Parts: sequence; C-alpha cells; structure tokens
Amino acid sequence: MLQRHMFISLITLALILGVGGASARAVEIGPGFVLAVENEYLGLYIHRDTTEIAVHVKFGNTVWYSNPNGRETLEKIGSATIKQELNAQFAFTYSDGRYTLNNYADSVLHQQYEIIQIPNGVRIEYTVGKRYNSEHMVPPMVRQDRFERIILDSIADPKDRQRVEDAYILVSLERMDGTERIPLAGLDMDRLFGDYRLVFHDPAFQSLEAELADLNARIADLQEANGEDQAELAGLIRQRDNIYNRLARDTQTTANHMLELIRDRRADVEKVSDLTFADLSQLVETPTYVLRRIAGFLQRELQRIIEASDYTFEDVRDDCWANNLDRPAYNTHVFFVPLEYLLDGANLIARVPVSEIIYPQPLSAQERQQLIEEKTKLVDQLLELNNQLNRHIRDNKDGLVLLVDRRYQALTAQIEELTREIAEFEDAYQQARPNLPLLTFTLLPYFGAAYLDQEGYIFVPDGSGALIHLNNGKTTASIYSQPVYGDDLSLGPREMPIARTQNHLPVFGLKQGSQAFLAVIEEGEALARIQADIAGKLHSYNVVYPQFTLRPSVMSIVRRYQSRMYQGDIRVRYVFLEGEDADYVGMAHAYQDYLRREFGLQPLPKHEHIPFFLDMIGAINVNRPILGIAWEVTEPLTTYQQAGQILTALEASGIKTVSLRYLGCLEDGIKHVYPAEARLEKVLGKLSELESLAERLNASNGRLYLGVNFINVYPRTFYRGFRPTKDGARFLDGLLAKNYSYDAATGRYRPDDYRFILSPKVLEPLVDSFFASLKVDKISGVAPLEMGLQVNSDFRSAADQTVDRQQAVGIVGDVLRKMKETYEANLIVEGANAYALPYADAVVQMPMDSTNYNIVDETVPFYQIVLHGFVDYTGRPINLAGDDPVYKLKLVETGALPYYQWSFADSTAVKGTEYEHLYSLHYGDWLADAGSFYAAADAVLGPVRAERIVDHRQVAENVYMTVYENGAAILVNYNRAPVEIDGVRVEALGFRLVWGSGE
Amino acid sequence: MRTINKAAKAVVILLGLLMVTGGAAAVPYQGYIYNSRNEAIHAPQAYLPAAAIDGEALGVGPFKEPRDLAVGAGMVYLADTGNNRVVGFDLDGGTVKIIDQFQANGRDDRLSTPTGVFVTSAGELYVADRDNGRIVHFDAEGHYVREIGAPSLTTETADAGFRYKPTRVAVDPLGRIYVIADGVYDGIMEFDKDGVFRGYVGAPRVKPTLSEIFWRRFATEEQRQAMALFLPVEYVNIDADPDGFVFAVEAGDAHETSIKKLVPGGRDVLVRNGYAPPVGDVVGEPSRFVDVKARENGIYSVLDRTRGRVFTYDSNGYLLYVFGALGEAFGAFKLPAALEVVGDEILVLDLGTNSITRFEPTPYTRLIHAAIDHYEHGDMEASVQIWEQILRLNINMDFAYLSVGRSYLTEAKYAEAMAYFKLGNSRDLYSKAFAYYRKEVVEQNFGVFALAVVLIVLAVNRITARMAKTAGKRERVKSALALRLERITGPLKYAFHVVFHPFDGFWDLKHEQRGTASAATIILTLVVAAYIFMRQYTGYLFNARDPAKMNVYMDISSVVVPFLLWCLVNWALTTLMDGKGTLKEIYIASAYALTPIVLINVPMTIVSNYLTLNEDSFYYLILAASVIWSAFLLFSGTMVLHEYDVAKTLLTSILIVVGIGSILFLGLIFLDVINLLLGFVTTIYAELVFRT
Repeated sequence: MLQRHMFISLITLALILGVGGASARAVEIGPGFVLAVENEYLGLYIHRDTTEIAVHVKFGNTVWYSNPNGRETLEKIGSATIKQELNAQFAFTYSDGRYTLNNYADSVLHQQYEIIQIPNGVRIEYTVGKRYNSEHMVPPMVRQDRFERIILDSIADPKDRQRVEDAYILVSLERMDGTERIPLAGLDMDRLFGDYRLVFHDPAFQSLEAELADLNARIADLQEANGEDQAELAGLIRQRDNIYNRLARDTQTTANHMLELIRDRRADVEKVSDLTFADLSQLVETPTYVLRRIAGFLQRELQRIIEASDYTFEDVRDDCWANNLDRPAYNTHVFFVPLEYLLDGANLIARVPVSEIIYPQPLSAQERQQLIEEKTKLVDQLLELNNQLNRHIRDNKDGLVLLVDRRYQALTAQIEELTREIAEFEDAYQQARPNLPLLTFTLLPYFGAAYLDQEGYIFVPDGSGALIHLNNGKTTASIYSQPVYGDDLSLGPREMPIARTQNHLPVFGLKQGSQAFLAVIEEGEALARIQADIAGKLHSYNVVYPQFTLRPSVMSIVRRYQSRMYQGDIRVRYVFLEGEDADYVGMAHAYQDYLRREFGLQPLPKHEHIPFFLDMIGAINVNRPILGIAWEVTEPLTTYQQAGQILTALEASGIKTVSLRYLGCLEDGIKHVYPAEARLEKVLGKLSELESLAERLNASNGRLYLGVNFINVYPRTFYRGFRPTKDGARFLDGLLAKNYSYDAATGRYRPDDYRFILSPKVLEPLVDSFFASLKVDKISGVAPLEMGLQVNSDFRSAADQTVDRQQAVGIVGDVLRKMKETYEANLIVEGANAYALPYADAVVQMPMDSTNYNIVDETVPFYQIVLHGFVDYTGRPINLAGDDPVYKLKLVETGALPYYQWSFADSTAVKGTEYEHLYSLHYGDWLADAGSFYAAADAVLGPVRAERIVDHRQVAENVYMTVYENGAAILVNYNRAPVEIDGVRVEALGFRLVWGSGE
Repeated sequence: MRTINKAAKAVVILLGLLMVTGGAAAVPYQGYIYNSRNEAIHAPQAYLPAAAIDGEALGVGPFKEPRDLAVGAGMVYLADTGNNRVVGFDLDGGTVKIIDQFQANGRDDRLSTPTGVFVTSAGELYVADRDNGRIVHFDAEGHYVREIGAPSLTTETADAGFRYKPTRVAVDPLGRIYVIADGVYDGIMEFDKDGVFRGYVGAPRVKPTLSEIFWRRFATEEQRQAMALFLPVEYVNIDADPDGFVFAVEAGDAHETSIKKLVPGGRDVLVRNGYAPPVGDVVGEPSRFVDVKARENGIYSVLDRTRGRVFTYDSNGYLLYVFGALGEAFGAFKLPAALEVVGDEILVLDLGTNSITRFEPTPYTRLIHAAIDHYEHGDMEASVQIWEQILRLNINMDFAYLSVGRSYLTEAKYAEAMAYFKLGNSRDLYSKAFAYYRKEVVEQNFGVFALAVVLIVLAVNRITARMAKTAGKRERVKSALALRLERITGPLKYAFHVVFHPFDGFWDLKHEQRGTASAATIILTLVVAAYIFMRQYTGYLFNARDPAKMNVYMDISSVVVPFLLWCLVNWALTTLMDGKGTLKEIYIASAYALTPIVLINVPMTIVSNYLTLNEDSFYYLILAASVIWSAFLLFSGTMVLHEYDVAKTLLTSILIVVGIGSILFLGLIFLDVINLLLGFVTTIYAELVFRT
C-alpha cells in the first residue's frame, strides 16, 4: 500500500518538477537527483531512490551532498555496515541505547518512505524499522485466485514464478459423492472433514488417483467376468493395493503436514487432533494453495521473491484471516520520523519536528478505553446484523432462494467485515507494546563529508574555536564530541580529569577546497553534542555533525531516564560560503550576520577608549571561632569606600572608564542569600556610598554591575523564600540537584561543598521579585553570575513538571531579555553561551583558547571574531593568570579588553578561608601593571573597539595579525625576539597597531 | 648509525608547524599546589606546552612504544623501543640521528628493544639494550665504544633461568654506571667505570620489628639464613645528578621513600622536610612514579602515571609546583613514560601518543627557580625579594613565607618573621622567632615587667592578709542571699579540700554530705568550659587544630560522654562487687576528682601563648600532671566511696575502663549496622521506585 502510494507521489513530484529539473544545469549533479525546489541562490535536489539530497549553490556553482557523492567506488576502508551507514541522513538510538537504526538500512531499503512537496522544500516521512518480519512474508495458505492474481502474475522471472508455484500445493475439500476417503492415522475423519474429502490438485496425486480409478475399474470388470483370470485379478489387486498404499502414504504425509502447518499457525490449537471441520471449512470447493514443507534456504528465497512481488504484508494478514489462521503481528520496533529540508534564502534548513515522531508506546488508559468503546460499538453492530440475518432467514424459509439471495450475501459480507474489524481491535488491545522513545538522534552525519583527497578543515566551537585539518592523520586520537553549552549539571557530578573549555556557540562548519559551510543549530541546540572526526578511522570521510540527546539518562543503581522525550524541533541551518568567504573568518561573519538578523545584535557605539573591566570582591564568608563555636561570619575585603579609593588610584594611573562587577555585596557576601529580595551586605558600608560609587562610574562612561547568582543557591540553615524541595531542580534519581565543587588535585567532586541548582521554573518569579525589591536607583547594571555558563534541566519525575534542557535555555533567554528590556538593566554575563549574547553589554571569562584536544590542529578566535564590534568581551582576570605576558598578548590578539579581579584587603586575607583559590587579589600588587597594560591596550584596541574583525591570520612564526574593518591591523609577536613584518618592527612579546590602505 | 643532516630550516619549520598557537598554549587543566595543610588549592600554571614532537615531524617515521628520554650536550635522545633504535635530535633543529645498526669491534651489530638511554655531560650515550642483555656505550659522535654485559656475580642472587634484561641506565660524573634490570629486586646494579660489577645499591636494610626479633630467637640457623637482610625493592627509573648522587624511584604506589637520593655508598640522603613527604598527590589515589630527573640546586622533578603529573620538589622536600594531567589534549598525556629537562624547559614522553611534549616555564615558575638559585648562591636579599614577588602572585605558595620569614629573622624583625612563619605554617620556625621576640619584648620592657611582678606580689599579700582579718567578721553579717550563695559555693570550695586531701575529702564527701550534685554539675561544666577554652585559646605553637574549624558539640561530648560512661560503668560494676557508693555519690566524687583539670588547664592555656617549643616539656609535663592528679583522685575516690582496698580498686578501675571500651565498641558497631541498614533501605527504595 505504502509502496504504491509512494510511487504515485514520486511520479507526481517528478511531473511537478520535471520542468524545473530540466532547466539549465551548469553543474554536474549525480544521476537520480531531481530538483525539488529552488530559489535565486540555491537549488535543492533529491534522489528519489535513496532520499539523499544535493544542494546546488548557485553563487559559487558548487554542490553539497547530504551523503558523499561517489562513495560506492571511493569508499574502500569501511566495513559493509559502515558503507551502508554512509547512505543515511539520520540515525537514532532507542530503548536503552542498545539499538541504533538509520533511515537508509531501516527505511529506504524497505521503501518505507514518502516524499512530500511542501512550501519551499520537501518533507520526507520515514517509517524506520521494518514494519513486519520478512519471515512472515511467505503465506501459509492463499486462495487460488488470489495466489495466481496477486503473487504469481506479479513475478516477472518465470523461474522465480515456478519456484513459488512449486513450493505450494493446491488443496480443496470436495463432496464425497460416494468416493472413498483415505483415513488419516489417529484422526477422526468425520470430525475433521465432515462430508468432504481432501483433494490435492497436484499432477502427481491426480495421476495416482486416475491410475487407481483405472485399476479399480479393471478389477471390477474382471470380477464381473467372474474370474477365469484369477492370477491376473490377483496381480491387478496387488497393483491396485500398491498404488493405493502409495496414494495413502502421500496423502497422509501431505495432509499431516498441512494440518501441522495450521496447528502451528494457531495459538489456540495444541494438537492436530483438536482441529475440526470448522477450521477447514473455507477449503470447501475452494482450491487454496498451501505451503509445502520446504528447506530453510528456499524459505529465504521465497521471502525475497514474494517481497519483490505485489503481494504485501497486509495481503498475508488477509489470507491468514481468510484461512482461519493467526495473523502475523506487525513489528513493534517501528518509528515514524519526518525530516524536512527547506530553502530559506541562501540557507538550507534541515528540520525534524520531534513532536511528530511516533515511537512505540504502550496504550494509555485513555486509548485503551477508547478502543474498548469502539469495539463495543462494533460488537453491537454485529449483533444487529446477525439479528437481521436471522430474521431474513426466518422470513425466507426457502433455502434455495437464500443461496442466491443478494440481501443474504450482503449481510454475510458485512458480518464478515465487522468480525474482522473487531479482531483488529482485539489485536491492538492485546498486543504487548514496549515503550521505546528515542534517546539520541544524529542528523545528517555525512553532510558535506570531505574525502581523503580534500584539503580544508572542520571547524568546531570548542572554547574560542578550533580547527581540525582534513585528513590530518591523527587516527589514534579520539573523536571530537562535546556538548553545546557544556554539561547539564542536573545530570550529576562527574570526574574532571581535564578542564575543558566550553562550547558556547551552537555552530560547526567544514571547509573543503574553495567551498565551506557553517551550520547553526537553531533549535534543540541545548541537547546537541557536536561531533567531528577525520577520515581514515571508520571510513574515508572527514565529518562533522550534531547529535541530539532527546532523552537524557544516567546510571545510578539502575539506568534512569528523563521522564519524557524532548518535544520541540530539531532545526539546523546550513549557510554556504564560497571563495574568499570560505574560511573560519567567513564562518564567523556568517554567524555574526545570523545573530544580527535573528536576534538584533547591535553594533557598539564608537568610543575613543576601551573600558577597563574590574571585579571587586566585596565581602567573603569566613569561619571564626567565637565561644568555641566556629561561626560563619561575613567579612569585608573591599568596602564601598575602599572601592572608591581603588577607582581614584585607577584614575591616577590613567584608567578612566571602568566596568565594575561588584561581587559579594549582597547580604552574606559571596555566598549571598537567596536573592528573592535584593538586600545589601551591611559590612561594606552604607547604601548611599554604593550609590555614589555607581554615580561616579556612570559619570565616566563606566558602570557598576551588581553580582548576583540567581541559578545556584548556597545551602544554609534558613532560606529566605527558597524551598529546596520545591524550588530546587532534581537529578534523574529524584534527589535535589546540586552543583558541586571539585578537588583541584583529584578532579573528584566534594560531596559536602555544593550549591543547589534552581529549577528553571522558578527563575522568572525569582528575578521579578529581586528587581521589585532592588532599591538602588543609581545602579543600572546587573551581573547575573553563571547564567551564561550553565543550563540545567529539572528532571522531576512527573512528565509535566520536567523542564528539559531546551526549555531551560528558553527560560534563561527570556529572563535575560526581561532583565534587559523590562527592568532596563545592563548586563555582564560570563562565558557566554549564545542565548545570552543578544542581551549582554559585555562578556567576561570568555575562553581565549580551545581545549586543544589531540584531534584538533589549530585554535582560532572564532568567537571573538563573531562578537567584536558588537559586544565587549574579555577572558579570565589577568591577575589570576600568573603574570603571564603571553596571556596579555592573547587578549590583544583577540581584541579582548583588560580585566582584573581585585580586593582592597591584602591577598592573604583569604588565606585559610574557602577563597584561597583567589590567590592574588590585592589591588596594590597589580595597580602599576594594570595602568601600563591598559595604556598599551587602549592605544591599539581603542580605535577598533566598534569595528568588526575582517581577517585574522598568522603572518610569521608566532606572529599573528588581526585586521579590522576600518583598516587597522594589530600585529602580535609571541616570539622572545623582535620581528619585522613588511618593514614594521614588533618588539619581543609585543604588539603594534598599523593602519592599512584604508579598506 | 645513520645521521640525517637536514637543512636546519626545514626542521625549524616542522617544529613550528607543531605549535598549536602562538607561543605556549593554554593548558586543559587548572594549576594547583598543596598548601601547608596539604589541601590542593588552585595556583598559577607552572609550565605551558609549547610544541609536540613526534617521529614524523622529525622525518624519521612514527615512534613505536618509546620508553625513555635523555638530554645531554645539546642533544635529545629517545629510546624508540618498538623500532629497535635510538633517535637523537637537536631541539633547535639541525641534526637528527638514528642509531640502530652499528659497527662493534669490526662486526655488524644492532640494538634490540632498547628501553633506556643516558647521555653524559660530554655527550656520551649509554643505551640499555634490553633484549641483548647489555649496556652499549657510544661516543658523542655516535660511534660504538664498548658494551657492558651481564654482571658476573649474578649467581649470588639469580636462579638458573634468569636472563639479564637491563631497562634503565645512568652514569655519574665519575663514570660509575648504574643499571636497573627486569626481575632484579636487590637494588640498583653498580658497575665501576671499567664496567666491572661492584654490587647493589639502594636496597634498604631490614629494620626488624619486635615480632621478627622474637621469632628470630626461635628460628633455626637455616631459617635465620633464609630471612632476608634487605627488603626487595623494584626501581622503575634512575637518574644521576652532576654532584654524583643517584636519584631513583620505586615502582608501585608512591610512599614516603619512593624517591631516593643515593650517595655512592648506597645510603639514601634525600631530605623530606616538606609539608608532606614527596609522594606526589597527597590526596586521593596514590601517585605512581615512572621517572625522576635531578635538576639544578638539588631540585628534582618526578613524573606520575596515576594522573599524568610532574611534581617538582626543592632540596628540602618542599613541593614547588605541579603540572600535567591525563587526557586527550595538548599538554595532557595518555600514558606518560619519561621526563627530561632541557635548560628550563621540560620534555615529557607520552607512550600513549608516541610523542614528546615540550613545556616552557611560565614567568611564575621562572621566579621560583630564580629565587632558589639566588638563595643557593648566597644572595639572600635578591632571593627574598623574588619570594615576595611570588607570594604576590600566589598566596598559597606557603613555602615562600618561610623563606621570607627567615630573612626577617636574620634582620631581627621578629614580629614580621612570626607572621610569615605562621602563614607558612611552620611551628618550629615560629617558635624560634617567637623566642627572640619574647626576649626582645621582655628586655625592652624589663622595668615594666619587674614593677608588675612586685605589684602583683604586694597585692596578693594584701588581699590574703585582709581576707584573714575579715574572715571572722563575715560570719556575723551574712544576709539571706549570702546564705543561699554559700549553699552553692560551700560545696564548691570543698573541692579544694578534696583535691589536696583526697582520702579525708572523699570520706567526708560521702558521709558528711559535704558535696552536692549541683556543685558536681558546676564542676563538670567548668571542665567542659576549660576544655573548650584550651582548644580555642592554646597558643599557636601548641594548638595543632585550626580554631576556625572547631566544633563545640564534639568538644562537649568528648568530655561529657566518657565522664558519664565512667559513672555508669563504675556504678554498674561496683554494685556487683559490693561497692558501697550510690550512682549519685559516684557522680559527685568523679566530678570533684576532675577539679585539677580546671585548676591547671586554664592557666596553662594562657601560659601556652608565651611559651616556645623549647619549653614544651614544661608545658606537657604540667598538663600530664593534671591528668595524673585527676586519675589519682578518681582512683582514690572510687576506693573511699566503695570502701575497697587498693588491689580491688585497681581491679575495678581496669574493669571500668574495659567496660567503657566495650560500650563504645558496641555503640560503633550499632551505628555501623544502622548505617548499613539505611543504605540497604534506600537502595531497595530506589530499585522499587525507578526499576519500572
């Protein structure tokens, strides 16, 4: 059915598109592809037999394939399975991850798909997982007419046809008409066959029977002749007995096999002797093909032939029903997955509406109820029909009329139909259905895959960004696989042997030759991992693709899963880059354009000077013994007045514009109370002092940002408004989710040092109440701590209470927007994950490097290129980087601004406290350094603060050049000796601004 | 030997290509250091990876299972074990040498599984040619010089089937050759400069335990012979430093003496005065050292395989810095195998990735080395300045406080020295500084002190005289309040009588009702208060605990629980043993018996703030006196109360102590069972709830 349907739709598609497909095709696209949709930039082609796509990029006259073109011949190292996987557009795991299906092996090969034209694109609906078991495709019994019409006639190869025919024997039950029945051992012939005898319409049987009849006739003749030829008679009788025995033996064997076949196909029959005439009545005067006993290899051969014919699994079920056999069940591991490709201007969008995915699921109570109701209705109808039939029979006593009576026939047919429907309902109701939601989903794993001979690189957003050169030969290095937005802390703590830099951006890309693409995961990104691998491991292709965890799980005693599957969309946008743009700078600009277009990222206003980023540590929590009890008390490291003094000192050293993050100035210092109310810590000074500090900063184009952590809550005896059991997020095991700290040496989490993870559900009310109670009018800045770093789910066990990670991203994004728009707060975020970018004044603690995984070849400032000119950013505080000149050079190279984290108190004030990791805080130790670095950085970065980075490249060994849109170029020399680049001298470990020809 | 002489430029470009970013890359782990309390605290990075070097970059084909590195005379040599060759190269680019086949005494010879290499300062190369069972000596040009075969004395230790397989080699400046070999547990083999086997060094002699001495008495002569005179020890790596010391690391989990610094006689002279012994990671799973490298000024670095770390210690055993990690990223290792130092750079060989990572020191690390260097060369002033600079960069480099403190000490700035020694958490040095400080203060204020003493003596005299005078008068003018007060103070004052006259005192306590339960409770409360007071206010030198981490509930229960247990068990036992005392009487008597603790501990706590460690015996003696006194009082109290003789009291006392022990033991077991039960219930609950 489906197959026919698909065929028709394909023809329609071909007809609709036929004209388009024939239009001028300047570039060679593999055979079998037809144009599905096109616009002025792109043409989308689809292969009707494999559902793979090709995108013709008109502005570069290049083609991208969803699966590598020519892989049949090019792929040499992959196993058979891998070669098959190379044909897939998606793959997913389900159940407990034991099973992986892909849309090629488990759908396209079974032709279980349908291509549908939609506006601007195509939609392919896959039924993944064979709907039925091929073993069931060899029907045990088929009525003669159906067998010949549907099966035999649709088999093209006469040899195959013969093979199928030979595997069956035509059987019917005929009236005895006085003939003798060959008895079957141990069976009650009357009970089994009633007044009928079993007839095999088979040449072998027929010739035997004919011979027998002939002999019988001759014997009768002889006997009538009253026997002189006693010897001849005896001979004939012996001959007849022989034939009879042969016939009897063959009949018994064949009949027994047939009865066993019936017994085996019926769950309710245990022994052959339990069968009755009712079970065979459909054979009465109806010749039916019955499967002979056949060898296993022949069985498989038949499966193949019949599957290729027009005979469908539905037909098998029909025939079984008609022959009173149990109908073979549909497979349970069957999934319906739609995949859409859309053209959006110059971009291709691949979309999987996850909510439309249908996966095996037990019937809900409601569905069961509904089934029962519908069945009851049908049963009522059936009773009614039976009554009608009975009345009809009663009214027409004349049996002869009845047989040809149309009404009678119509009624019986209806009854038949209804009974069957009821049986279907029964099946549906009875069938044990597993619950098999999808766990992970891999989308377009081979899109743009680059072959062994290609040059270029894969771009992954690890930290600032990293490149994996195509075919770099690092076949022993592990695959790159990192989650977007870092780990979900609600999945529990884990060992941290190495500190990774986070993937803050949901993007990835690939460049081969002079073409490149950048993919932006627009929806479902919080569930995604970006995976990249080089050729030479499993197959000959370099690949990069996203994998989505639709249902997170974790092992703790037993494996525990999120209560439900993700219900949003998966949506990946592919942006195509050609020629000059086809590099990581082009990719960064593509993403920048995307952010501007979709999220309204605004360019920074022009300023002559760069701001100086400063974190001030207000109050900390320390244990002090009082009367023998170690009390936690709040002690100031920097009071408001002292902060003012630091500002004065900064001014004196030439730093006028300061963006100040004041940390630890809410009640109880760094480990501040639950911020349902914005209460300030009293040990730091008076409110008016803080206000005047803010005013002072505003007056010099700077700003005060109040550090507040909304998403992690410090444990304490009494909470102001935080109810851990209600407002805290949950781990998958139902316990309260905690963000643990980790031991610096072992990387193990410390069970007694944690913060609660706030459930995203209560984030918005919390932020609302914080701003409602914020009495400081002069402060216009807020630094929502860690909001740009963490996205955590709430795995509450009730499905409607669960907040999955994508929902959490939505909530955090909305809250940030609300802060910015409704509460008109200026924001500094940390990290920062992409969702925070549209609302941030500045990003601090941005990764300046990548993790440098072994598979990675190069680190690039992708993130910095995306943001420069739109949002100010900087990395880690300079004073905690060990006075490393290389780090400062890195800041200048990437256009990042000076940033320190200070206290007024001496550095040793934190000794013996929990803040020992802030190992160099005293401002006095760094003031001179800050002054000189700011002056030097301001001189080169000031003129380009509002400019886009248009190029970044290595110009000599350890010398990098960053070029800005206004023609300024900054040269950074990491060598320990001066270098001269095109006549420009750059000092050892120095940097220099040069003006280009004014591009 | 083959030498590949490439254009220097080509190799430079190759090495340049290996750089991941400009200069040194960031590392995929956070730096840390153990502070004086042995907690791991984040610290500035010590070394940053600058380049990865593998066989292909050198143009010699991929390395295969490389095991060892050696540096000398400007060349790096690598034992490319799996390829049966030694690869030598110059870090500045230029020459690459391969030694696999060579001419030895006129015939062709080749290396087979070379696992160890060593280069002398003159550039001579020694290779532990494992599967050929020999050490091969090449000159600086790579020409064969000689081979040193199996030691001739192997019969002494080895079985018939023993095959000599040298794995590592080191040569000291005098030409002595040290070798470690597979399956040899007697120590390091020492050959003289002519290649003659001299014996084993570095196997620690057995220090018999008491039980061993005991068994030895009963052992037969043969058994005695069979008892090992040394402890079997397996070394994984050795290094010879320029001063003639041999550094060696033992295989297996690191323990206090895993790293040894052996003098030619074989004695271990490594100084282990750091905050923790040189065991690598102090917390978590123990480190497993695989290589050691002697560096300048007695500094040494060790490579750990458990977490892929390089630990560096100074000559006194203080940890200077840590870097490295296990992981699949630049700057981390999969299976670190060997460590080498080139100037101030460090090379780490990774067996997992068949490559060498070249690390450059950060400015922070350069400072540490400079400070130590200045110190070793006697330039204290420069050294201290740098240490101060280091402390500005990292307050957790506690060792630096000691260096700075010492310099203050020599400058006679005792108060500053004390502050630094306290930050550096060294009680010894603090005590030293404090002694000077105390002397200084007393000398400066001698007049004041003398006057104060005179005044106090006078005042005490006056008061006692007046009290004696008014003693009679007071009887007459007692108000009702005073009477009520006396009902409490009377029994309390009686405590003084009891402590000095125990036998009379306890007798009267019981028979004359001179003690009350409320007074006893007050005394007990005072004992608790005194204990807490002592915990919190004992001087830094005598207070091992961090007052900031006090838990007053624990302190209270650690006094009250044993006390109550004593009373209960005492009562329970003595009722069985014809004791005459009631529970109340036991309670009162026991509490009174603790009075000396209050009387002595409180003043001693105050005094402790003015004592140095030199006077610690005085301090501890008096504290011990208070305990003995109290114990004696408890004893005599029990005796008098129950009307026992000495022997019976002694027996009872022992039984009481045993009883208390049993109760505590049972209590612990009970708690443990409860704990297990809770765990069981939660697991069952989890299974029930989630296994659906």
